[in-house]
Amino acid sequence: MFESLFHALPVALQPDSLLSLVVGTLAGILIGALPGLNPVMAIALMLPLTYGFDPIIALGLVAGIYNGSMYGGAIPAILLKIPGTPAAIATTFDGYPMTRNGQGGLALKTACWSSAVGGVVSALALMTLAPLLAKVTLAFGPAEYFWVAVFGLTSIAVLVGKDLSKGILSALLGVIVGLVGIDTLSGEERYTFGSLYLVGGFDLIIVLIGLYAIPPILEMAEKRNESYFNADSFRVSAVAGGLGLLRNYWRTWSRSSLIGVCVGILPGAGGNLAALLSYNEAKRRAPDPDSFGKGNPVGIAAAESGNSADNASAMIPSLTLGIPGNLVAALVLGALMIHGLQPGPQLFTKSPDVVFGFMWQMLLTAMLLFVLGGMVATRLFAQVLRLPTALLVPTTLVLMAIGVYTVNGNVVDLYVMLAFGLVGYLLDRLEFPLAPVVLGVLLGPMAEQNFRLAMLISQNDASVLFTRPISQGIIALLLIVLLSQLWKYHRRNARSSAAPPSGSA
Amino acid sequence: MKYRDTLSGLVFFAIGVTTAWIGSGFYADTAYIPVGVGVLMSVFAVPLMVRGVVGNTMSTSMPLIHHPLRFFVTLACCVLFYFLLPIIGFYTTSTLFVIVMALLLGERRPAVVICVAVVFIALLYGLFAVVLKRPLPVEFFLAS
Amino acid sequence: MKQYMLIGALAAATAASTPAMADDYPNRPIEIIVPAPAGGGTDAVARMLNQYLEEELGQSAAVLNVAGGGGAIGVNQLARTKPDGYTLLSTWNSPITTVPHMQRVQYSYDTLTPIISTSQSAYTMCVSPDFPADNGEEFIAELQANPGHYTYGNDGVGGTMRLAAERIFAAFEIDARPIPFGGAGETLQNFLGGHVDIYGGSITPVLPYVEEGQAKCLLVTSAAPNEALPQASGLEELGHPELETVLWRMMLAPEGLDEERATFIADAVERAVQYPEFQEFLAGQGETLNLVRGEALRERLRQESEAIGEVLDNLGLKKH
Repeated sequence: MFESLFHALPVALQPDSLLSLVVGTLAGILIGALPGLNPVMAIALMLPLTYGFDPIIALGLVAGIYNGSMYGGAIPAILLKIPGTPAAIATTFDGYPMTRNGQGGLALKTACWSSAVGGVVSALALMTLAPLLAKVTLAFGPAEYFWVAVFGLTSIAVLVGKDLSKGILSALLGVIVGLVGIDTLSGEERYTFGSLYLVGGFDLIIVLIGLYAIPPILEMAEKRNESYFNADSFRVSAVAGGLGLLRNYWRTWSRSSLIGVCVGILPGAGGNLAALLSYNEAKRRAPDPDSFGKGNPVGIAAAESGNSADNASAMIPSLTLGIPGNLVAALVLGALMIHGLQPGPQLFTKSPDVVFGFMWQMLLTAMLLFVLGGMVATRLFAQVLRLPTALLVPTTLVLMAIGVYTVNGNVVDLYVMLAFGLVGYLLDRLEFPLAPVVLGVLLGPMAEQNFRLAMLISQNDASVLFTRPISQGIIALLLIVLLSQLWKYHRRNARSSAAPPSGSA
Repeated sequence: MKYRDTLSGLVFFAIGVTTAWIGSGFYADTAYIPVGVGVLMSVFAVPLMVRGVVGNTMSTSMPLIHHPLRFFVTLACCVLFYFLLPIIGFYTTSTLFVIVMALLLGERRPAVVICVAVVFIALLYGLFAVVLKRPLPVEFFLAS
Repeated sequence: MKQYMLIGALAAATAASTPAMADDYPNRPIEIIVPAPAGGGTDAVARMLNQYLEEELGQSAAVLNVAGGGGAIGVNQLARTKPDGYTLLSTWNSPITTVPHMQRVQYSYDTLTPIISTSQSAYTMCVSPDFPADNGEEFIAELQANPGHYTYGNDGVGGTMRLAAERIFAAFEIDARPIPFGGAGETLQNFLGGHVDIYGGSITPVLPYVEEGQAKCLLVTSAAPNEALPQASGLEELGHPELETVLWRMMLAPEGLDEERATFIADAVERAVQYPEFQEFLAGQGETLNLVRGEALRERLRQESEAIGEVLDNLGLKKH
């Protein structure tokens, strides 16, 4: 296996492969940074343009866009509090406060380096452990997926934000939004109130853009006279060197990368779960958890290395088993099939140069981020903030309209986005955290479907949820998180009930 | 008394009860989670309401909407924008939207506004129409 | 003189490839709705065909994935567009012939303009190597002998695979428990992990595991057996060729599309599928060409829709 791995290195280092990587990474950063555009759409649109070329070029573009956009999503999250991709939600928590504190340059640099580190770790996991980790994927049945979803949802509802019941209510609201539409298991319509639009349910991207991008834009429109930003804080000279970052963050990076890789091998979970779990873990371990949410760079380091570490490892089930772990992985499979390569176990023996070459490309694009990320972000995107707010508001709204329109090509989606925007604005003002809502939309259906599948398979014997060792492990983790958090709330309440509440995460 | 907490607690309680009530009409296992989630939501809404009523008097001073005029102008412009998109086409409407909103939000340099709007739309056209070939609502003067 | 001849030949060639039309259709890019997510099998075939279709139409054509509701969301969206030939639908059969029996939709095979069908493929049922059966007959006998014991993964309630399986099971009085997954990928994952007993889905994803000896496929849902799966029996071999339920793909347009434009598109598709690269791709997917046009296509849709309605009625799956 390692022989073929090194045999494929020259393939990935060919000039045209390198060119496709650079182009892909730059395009990815751009796409990730524009709210509304997402890597899945970009890859779906670009792949057909590459059918005429060698597969390694198509895959180079995919790898570049994929890794680039994961970092790109952090740029508007930091500068405008608008996550460019769903996975960048956790980056807004500390990224935006840092911009307000005049540390935007440091925040972007941290995000860039953390993305690169997460991507590298993940690519190394893909290269060395893929067949082993694929076995783990198969060991997860419906019961285990149910617990993964419950764990993700509960820990985020409980850990994000200041108020226990508000976090839980947010998460439940998300689950209810996720219930709307045709139930895939029975074909029954739920909460559609006779509307044909609602039959399809709410698209996660539309909910996300509405909840997360509209409120900051409205806020900006309201306060247009105030000067928000200090563009000078983005000057490269204001940014600390790389080795310093390494010393500060290596613990966070290694923990978050591990979390990201683990989440990645489970099809369906995805980068935003990885980022939020990493963020929570960093916050839980930190000596100063209260500084999180107010501009602590460790929060960005955790979130960005977590979501980028999800990337390459999400390719493991798709390359080794032919089972796509997320939509990008599904597109990679589609690209391989169009080039006549059959995904599955024989891919490694039949076309080693392509599959191992792709792994090298995933590694190379992650490393490219060190170079391209800082340059593009600080030199180009930070300049956006020099635009007067009166122009920034409408241009961002147009971008969001394009992004939402291109999801389904349906104008109704735009009104739905605006409606979610108003809900998000209200929740934010009432100090309800928004991240659990998004996670609820994503993980609620996953929990429900897997719960019911497990019940179908076991013929309604609920013990199937508790008897298998992996499930028991996840339950134990869930209890640890819950109990330690309850203990913290208890202690805080006992100490003082007068701590003034501050802005929600 | 934090009336906001009480009110939002009440709203969540109502959503929870409604969800569970509608959900109870679903067939067999399609009803489990809707009912469960609805019940859980109404349960967790109770402490919020209670805390709002009996909690200490310290209240959040942040107003819900800082500047109602600009807030609603922005919303109205968005609705108008979405309404006109399919009728007069994406690029035309967007150009107008950027110009009108910028003026309404108080940008008083027409040259800057028009420059930014035109360059921005040109970039979008390059990316979506030329590179990605993505169909967006067709301009009224091109429709067949 | 030579130059004139060249120009004449060119003109003739152009005239042949774009038949003279009253209008200049297509004079702007065409949008093709695929009612399935990007990256799946339907999407891959549609995009592959699209490349060659663009050449034949002489216009660019963009694929728009509108997934959800078993395909109904995308077809609903198409049904609401103008029938000007600039929005087309590239779909498989289930959203047209199955889903309308189970959900409220805004279309039926009667209210869409049929253009042309393109290709088709069968589904297969596979088990792990230690399953006590080695061909279709033994497989059926084993399932008959153990009612309610075995679970089979399938593509969901409105899915064609589920329907194919239910038709076969009803005919043989088999009681197996359906486990509806999101698609063939999820079914495969749960089958390989041992969470369900039987894989039910398209042939391509499971093929590598058959070659490796990790799965044996014992049944295909077409009347004839499949070359790629020699161990699997076709339905004719089991005495029920009429139960054939396959996946097939077609191009449709909204109601009221001008006849001339429909013919123009059908001609373009018919030429596009002849590209050797496309045929090679189809073979790799286990699909075979199947070209039915216009009213004959509507008739095919009508027959299938009625047959499926009857099956769903018997199963109690039809919408109440």
